[in-house]
Amino acid sequence: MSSSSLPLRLQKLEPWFYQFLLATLLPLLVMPFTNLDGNLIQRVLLPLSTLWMVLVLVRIVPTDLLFIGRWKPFGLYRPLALLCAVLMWLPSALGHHHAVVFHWPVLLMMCGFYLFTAVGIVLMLGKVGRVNEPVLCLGAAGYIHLGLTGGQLATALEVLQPGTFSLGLMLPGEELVERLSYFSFVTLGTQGYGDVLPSTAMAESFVVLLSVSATLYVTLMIGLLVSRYLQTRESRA
Amino acid sequence: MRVRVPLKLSAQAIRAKESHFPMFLLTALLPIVVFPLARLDGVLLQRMALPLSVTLLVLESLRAMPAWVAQLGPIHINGIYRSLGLFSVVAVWIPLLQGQKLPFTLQIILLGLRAVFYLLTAIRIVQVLANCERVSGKTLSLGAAGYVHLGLTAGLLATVLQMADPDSFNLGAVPVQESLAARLSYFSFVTLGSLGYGDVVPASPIGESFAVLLSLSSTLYLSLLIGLLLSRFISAREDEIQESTQ
Repeated sequence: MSSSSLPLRLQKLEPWFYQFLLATLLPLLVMPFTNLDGNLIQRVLLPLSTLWMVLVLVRIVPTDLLFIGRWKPFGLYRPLALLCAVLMWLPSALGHHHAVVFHWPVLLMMCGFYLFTAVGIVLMLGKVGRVNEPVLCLGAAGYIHLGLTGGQLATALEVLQPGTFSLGLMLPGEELVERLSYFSFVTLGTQGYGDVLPSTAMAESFVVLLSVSATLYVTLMIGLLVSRYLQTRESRA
Repeated sequence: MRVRVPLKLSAQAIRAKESHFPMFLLTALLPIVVFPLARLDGVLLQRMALPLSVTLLVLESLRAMPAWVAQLGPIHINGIYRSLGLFSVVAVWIPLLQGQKLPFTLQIILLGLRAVFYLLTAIRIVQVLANCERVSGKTLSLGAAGYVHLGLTAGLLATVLQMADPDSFNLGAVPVQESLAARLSYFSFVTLGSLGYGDVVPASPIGESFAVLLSLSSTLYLSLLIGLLLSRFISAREDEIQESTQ
C-alpha cells in the first residue's frame, strides 16, 4: 500500500462514514438509560454502543495516515482500539466497586484512544480527494467525537483527582462520565451554562484547550469542507 | 509624524516562513498547558515552567513572522517588535531570580509590554493571512495561532487591569495556589470562545468595556478569518479550473 493511493482508498471507504456518524451519536442517546448497578441491559448499553463505534473506526482509519520519518504512528491504532474494546467492559462487568488499580490504566488508555482518533479524523479530512455528502458526515462525526473525547478526558481528570470539576447538582442516578460529557458538549457548543465548572488550574487549562479546539474545528475544518463541497458539486454539474 | 503605508507583504516572504507555522501554533499553546504546573514558590521546574514557555513562544514568533517593513517616521516597527520581544524574554525571568519583590508599578509595566508584543504578533498574523496566496494546512495553523494570541493578549491585559484596580473583575472561587494571570487568562478564553460560564465576571465599567471589546474581537477575528481563507481558497481553485480549460 503506497501513500499515494490514500485519497483513492478513502473514497472507497465513503459508505462507512454514514455509519460512523450514527455510531458516534448512539453513546449520547443511550447514556441516560445506563446504570452501572442496574439490570443487564442498563449495564451493557454504553459498552455495546461504544464497541460499535470502535469497530467502525478500526475499519475506516488507515494505518498510513501519518509518517514521522519512516515510523507510522497509526500502525499502533488498531491494537490500541482492540485493547480498549476489551477493557471498556470492565466497569459493567465489575460494577461500581471494582478496584481503583484497574480504573486508572483503563481510563488513560481510553483517553489515549479517543485523542488518537480525533487526530486521525482531522488527518483523514485533510487527505480526502473530494468532498461529498459522506465526507461532510465524517466532518460532523468528528465534531461529536471531539465532545466525547472531552468527556472522557474530563472524567479521567476527575477520577485521578476528585474535585477537579465542581459538578453542581448531579441528577439522581447520573454517572460521572455522563455529567462530564454533558459539560464537554455544553463547552463545545459554546453555551457555557455554568452549572458544571472547572475548579482547579488543571481543569481550567483543559477547558481552554477544549474550547479553542472546538472553535477552530468548526470554523476552519467545517468551513473548508463546505467550500470544497461546493467546488466538487460545481465541477460535477 | 508621517506614517508610511506598509508595503504589500510579498507572498514569497510568507512562503519562506511557512514551514515554521505549525511549530509556532504549538508554542503558542504552551503557556496554557504549563499554567497548572507553574508556581513561584515550588521546585525549580515549577518556577521555570512559565518563563521557559514564554521564552520559547517569543523566540518562535521572532523566527516565524516575516519582517515588518512599515515605518513610523524614522522608527522601524520591526526594530520595536524585536526589541519588545527580547525585552519580554528578559523580564519574564526576573521574578524567578528576585522572588516576588519587584516594585508593583514595574510588574504592571513589564506585563503590559509583553501584552503589546503579543498584540503586535496578532496584528502581524492577520497581515500575513491577508496576503498569503494559497491556503494550506500551514496557513490554517497560523490562523489558529492568531486566535490563541488574541486570548493570551487579553489574559495579560486583564491581569494588568486587575493589578491596577483590584475591583475590575470579580474572580469567584479561585482554585488554591492559582495565579492571577492564570485565572484571568482562563476568563479571557472563556469570553473568547463565547462560553460565558459566569464564574469570573467584570465588576467595574472598565472591566465591562474590556469584556465587550474582547468578545467583539473574537467574533470578528473568526468570521473575517474564515471569509478571508475561504475566498482565497475558492479563487485559487477557480484559477486552476481556468488554467485546465485553456
